[in-house]
Amino acid sequence: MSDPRPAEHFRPQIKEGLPQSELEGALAVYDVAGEQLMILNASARSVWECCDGTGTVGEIVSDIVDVFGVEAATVRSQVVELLIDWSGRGLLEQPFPGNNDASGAS
Amino acid sequence: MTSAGGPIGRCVLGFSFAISTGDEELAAMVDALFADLPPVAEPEHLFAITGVTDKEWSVQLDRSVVVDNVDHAMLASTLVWLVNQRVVAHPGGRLLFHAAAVAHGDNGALLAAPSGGGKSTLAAGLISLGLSYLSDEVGVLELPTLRLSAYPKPLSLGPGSLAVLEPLWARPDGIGTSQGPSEHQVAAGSIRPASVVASAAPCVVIFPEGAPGSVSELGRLSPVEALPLLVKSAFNLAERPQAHLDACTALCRSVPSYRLVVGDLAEACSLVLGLVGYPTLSAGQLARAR
Repeated sequence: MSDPRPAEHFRPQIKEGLPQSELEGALAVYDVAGEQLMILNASARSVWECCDGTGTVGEIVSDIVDVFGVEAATVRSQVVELLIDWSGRGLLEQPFPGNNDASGAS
Repeated sequence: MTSAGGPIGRCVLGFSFAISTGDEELAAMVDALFADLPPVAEPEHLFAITGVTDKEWSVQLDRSVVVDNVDHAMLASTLVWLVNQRVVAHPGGRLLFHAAAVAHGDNGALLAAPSGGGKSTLAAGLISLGLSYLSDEVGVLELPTLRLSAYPKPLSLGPGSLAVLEPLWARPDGIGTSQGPSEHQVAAGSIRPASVVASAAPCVVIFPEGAPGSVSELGRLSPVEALPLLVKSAFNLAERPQAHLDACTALCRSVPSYRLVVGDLAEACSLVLGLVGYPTLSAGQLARAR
């Protein structure tokens, strides 16, 4: 059975061309298809900006831990939640590949 | 709209039209209804009203029937709705909001709320107290200037609204008011002559929420709190999503935003007056308005 969570080696990439605007350190992203506005706080924004297709989920977690000094397990949980949400909204270039590798599961 | 020389053209946000009818009483009603819209010499579109029966009308736009068998009591609202539809469908690059807009001098207030949220009632109260009128249902933001432009359509007021407004104004009867079973169409000039202005710079964004029986009060919103509310009230953000999102963000960044609990209408109006730099109502005025 495929795991709906992104694997550690998954390289998330935000779709190009999404309307975005900065406001007081937060990032407003307009989901055109869903006609909804997302407001990303500083930490969510950091994850968003890391999703450029070059870094894996594991590398993104490490980067966020370095910047914010928060426990890795907590960061991993939050990064995964954000990616699941953004994937569900269709904001990622590619969906998560099937994750049957227990060692890669977050 | 008609005159001895034929229908008078009106233009709003690039949509120019005239309304013709052979019925003199109806022509007078139509003229009064749209009197606040700027005149234009050669309108592009023509609404023609023809009688189907003694009490029902058909409306054509450019020779195609758009509405048939309209009861006389509903005709004014139907005409306003038809014009509204065309104006909103072709905003010409502007960003439109479900919002009323009023002004004191060049200080504009955008009052954004969903349909039925009390925008028109609040706008009518503010006009009667001395503010200028831009719109009661469609707030128009010009890009890139971020100025508010007027769409001075007749205000659509239900019987409940008129009852609440009565202490604030002399109820307009006759010309300028077209009464339907569920709402009145009231030209702003009927509420207060020469109250329409062409544009204003927004100095405040307000999100009114009706709360009968409550105390009217203001709650300041941060730009991050206001932005989702403003975006939600936009008609056509998806037409140019990046430009329109940038405009909303710029507006939230540059002017203060407030939630307005509208309990007592006079109190709520007084709070808005203060935000645009107009003298607020005295205790005596508030008491007389209740």
